Amino acid sequence: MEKLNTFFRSTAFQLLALMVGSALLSYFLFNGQSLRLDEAQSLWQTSRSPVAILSIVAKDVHVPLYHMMLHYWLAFFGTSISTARILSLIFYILTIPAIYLLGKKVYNHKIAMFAAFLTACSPFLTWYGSEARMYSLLTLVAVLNQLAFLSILKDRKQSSWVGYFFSSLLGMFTHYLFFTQLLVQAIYLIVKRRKVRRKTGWTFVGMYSVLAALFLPWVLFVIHLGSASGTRPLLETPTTVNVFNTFAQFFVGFQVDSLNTAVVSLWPLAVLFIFFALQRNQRMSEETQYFMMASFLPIVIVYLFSLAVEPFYLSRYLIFVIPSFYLAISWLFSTYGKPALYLRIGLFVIMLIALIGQGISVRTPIREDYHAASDYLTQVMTGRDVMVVSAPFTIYPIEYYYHGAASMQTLPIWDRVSGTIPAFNAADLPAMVKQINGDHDRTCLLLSYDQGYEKTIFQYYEKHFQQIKHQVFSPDLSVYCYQLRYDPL
Amino acid sequence: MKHGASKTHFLQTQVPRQLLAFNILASLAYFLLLAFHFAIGNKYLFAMLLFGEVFHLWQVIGFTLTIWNTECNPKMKSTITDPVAVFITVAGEPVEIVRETAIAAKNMEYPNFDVYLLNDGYVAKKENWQAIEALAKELGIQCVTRKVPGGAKAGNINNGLRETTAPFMVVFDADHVPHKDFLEKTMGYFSDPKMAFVQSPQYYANNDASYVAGGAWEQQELFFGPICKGKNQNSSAFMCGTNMVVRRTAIEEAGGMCEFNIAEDFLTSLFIHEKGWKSVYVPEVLAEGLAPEDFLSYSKQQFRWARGSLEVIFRYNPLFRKGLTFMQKFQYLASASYYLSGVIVLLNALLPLIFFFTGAAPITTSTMALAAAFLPYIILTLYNLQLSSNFTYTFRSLSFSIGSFVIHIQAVLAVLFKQKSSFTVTSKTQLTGNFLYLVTPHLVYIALSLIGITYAITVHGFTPAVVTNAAWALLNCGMFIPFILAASPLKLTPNRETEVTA
Repeated sequence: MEKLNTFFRSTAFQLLALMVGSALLSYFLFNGQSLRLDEAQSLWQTSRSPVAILSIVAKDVHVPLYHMMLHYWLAFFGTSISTARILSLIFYILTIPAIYLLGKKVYNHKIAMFAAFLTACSPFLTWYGSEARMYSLLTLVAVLNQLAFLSILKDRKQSSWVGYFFSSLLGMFTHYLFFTQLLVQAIYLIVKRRKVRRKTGWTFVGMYSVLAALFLPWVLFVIHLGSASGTRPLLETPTTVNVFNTFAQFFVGFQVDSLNTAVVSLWPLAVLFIFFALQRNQRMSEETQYFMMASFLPIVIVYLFSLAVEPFYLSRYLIFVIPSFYLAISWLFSTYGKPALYLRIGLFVIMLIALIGQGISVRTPIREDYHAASDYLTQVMTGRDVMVVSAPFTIYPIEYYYHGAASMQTLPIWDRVSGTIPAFNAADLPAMVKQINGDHDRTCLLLSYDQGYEKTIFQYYEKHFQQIKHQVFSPDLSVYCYQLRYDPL
Repeated sequence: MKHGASKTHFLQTQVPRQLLAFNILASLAYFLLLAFHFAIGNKYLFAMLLFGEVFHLWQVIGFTLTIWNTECNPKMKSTITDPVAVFITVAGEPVEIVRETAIAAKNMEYPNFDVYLLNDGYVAKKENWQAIEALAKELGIQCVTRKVPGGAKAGNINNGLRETTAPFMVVFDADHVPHKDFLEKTMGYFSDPKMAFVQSPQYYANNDASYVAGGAWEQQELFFGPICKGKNQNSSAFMCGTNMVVRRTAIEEAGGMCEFNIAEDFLTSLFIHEKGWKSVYVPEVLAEGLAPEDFLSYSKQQFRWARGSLEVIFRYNPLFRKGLTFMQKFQYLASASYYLSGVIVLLNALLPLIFFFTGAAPITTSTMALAAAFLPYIILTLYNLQLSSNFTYTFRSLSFSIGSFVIHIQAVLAVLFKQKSSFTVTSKTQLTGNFLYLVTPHLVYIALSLIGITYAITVHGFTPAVVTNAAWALLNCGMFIPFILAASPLKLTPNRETEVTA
């Protein structure tokens, strides 16, 4: 009995419980959900040969590690979306003990366990832990990389160098923005140069050179291919609202606009929490300074780059900062003394409620119910009708679910064999619509992922054809059906 | 003595200058964005907000420039053996407290000094004035009992100066027990013939005696740590009433201790500096005194300091005094103007309340844009505060500073309307009771905030403006909590030493 008690109190059991609980919650909340656009792309891309995958992924402005892993995973275990999602779920669940190890290494059991709790109930991480994309892998690799990085600075063990090298390599080929984590580490080393041994510093320089050399062939390959496929969603120039939304999402995930706005508007309370941290002898350790840098600098870098060069600010691209952020929060709470317990419980409960809300609410902003839309189209369309999908790349999830008789087209018209999605030209719209319509009776226009021309297309259809049906399936995913002709053939 | 480690902790400070520069840049960026970029809402409220931010900018620049170099200590020679008159000012303090101080003063290691009890008990109508005379006799030291009142503590010291001839005098409050090496560590600075006075920290040995004493000491740590150390950059350290050595010729040239100001030490320092004399702050605890242990005593002490300092601004504004260097003027103004912060706290606290009940706001720009400008500024400022005070600055001391806004406003009004205030010695024993009546404005503010939030949500719903203003109001309420707790009859943990995290 005593042994059993000891086991239940052990860290291993606590972590195991968190992992199992989180996995079950993720499975029940998300497994039945529709395939999302990005997932459909992953499935389509990874269904090709490994060589073709490299080319497609490069044109899709991504790096290939996850796609190659998913390719072989699906080859072994089957090609359903559930199977694909399980791979992401595994990476996510492994992140829970990984973040604990990182927290334990740097702080103590309490801080580490709370960070693990936050990870396990994080609506944001759970969402991407249930999506057949590279983001949960990116998070896991980022944690392992930080563990190795801080271990080098703390213990200088040979194994830490090996771990750092391979985690960096994996991270570089998981997502381009992983480079910002390496950049932050380099900045940290420069800022703390007086505390870093000269030999250690030079070893880092050497390692970065080797990593750059190993990445170079991929860069040359991308340059050789020449152009992007245009399958990446249009991103607007970010504002400070995006930045604060990112942090709100790290806490409460994707909530309806009104709730999200309310959460973000509470920012002055963050100042109060910072004030609370003003405690006697409560110094910010070197590692905490690193976590602060790793939490904020990548976001600032991506934000500024998006303002100055090209917009590519998406909160999911920055998912790898979450472990540092949660550890920093966990440390901050540890400075509060007795009230920390209530704050911990409060934050945990809020995040858990947000997680469940995000999972079950039909108004969750990033929900993409292509499944329901396809079922609807199967029901209402016949072989004499034509379906028009815009943006063109949203054809992937529709194709996955739609098994009706109507033919399928995209606007602008996209020949997927040639690869690149053509740029939209409003002047060509009438001709394209005429070509698509042919002698069909009706057309259903499925609009999602506005690429800047959705309104033009919609208005053209509204002006020239009679709308007979309209249905909204999820935020930003609507179907409009029009009568094209009344005369029987 | 408890908390031995923390006795010197606050004195070990130096903030990287890059951080200080970033702090000024972030403050300027925030101010400029607020002043010129953000969309103005109600122009009167905007003026209120801007006025407050001008003051905050001034405070940040003042603090940053003060702590720019905190390691600028003049050299001293330890060969000076000139006679010193050691004054212990007494005005009704318990005999046992005076005894401890007098014995410690007698035991100081220096070849040539005499200890005097400057006994104001008679003129202050204290019952124990004769007991003090008896104590002096018992200890074999001299007692100077004033029979003609006037000038409060300053008058007492001036009387002591008239009764003695030594070229240097030391002043200790009755509860400030000197270390043996006090004179050895201070007299050497007078090898510089232009050195007028040497000030050492006013350390509170009873900082763990009560919640109030702890908060009071934590405020002192910031002042006697980085701020006083930084004043050595331009010889602008001022006298703090106790634990100081003064050259007789300097103080006589300045007309003696100033008897017409409630903060006699501050104004006398200014008069001395404008005659071209120098001063130095010795960053070493050389005497240990007692903090106010109860809320009433704390409030009175704060009022006295605030009133005295504000009089310097309104009556003897350093900007218009001849003889001071530019940086000395800057330093005097920076120190004295701290007590104007009460007005700013009130203005800032009123803004969300006004919004709740009228819907009027100073700016109509996105709350996120404001956050993006404000957060780097406030975080850097707080971090520099922590670094400069060697992590001794606490939420409680911040709360005491903010919560004292009512006291500071009372002081402003007292100066503006020339109300009479008498010098009262800070109580050396803890007064017990419920002092919540002293924080009535804070309690009213919390009540108004809760009513206002409810009203605004009912009328406008959870709009970003309502939520943000609610958060500001709650922030203010949260800031007042430790101050209110200090006033309450609750028995609170006096001092909490947080364990250092790995």
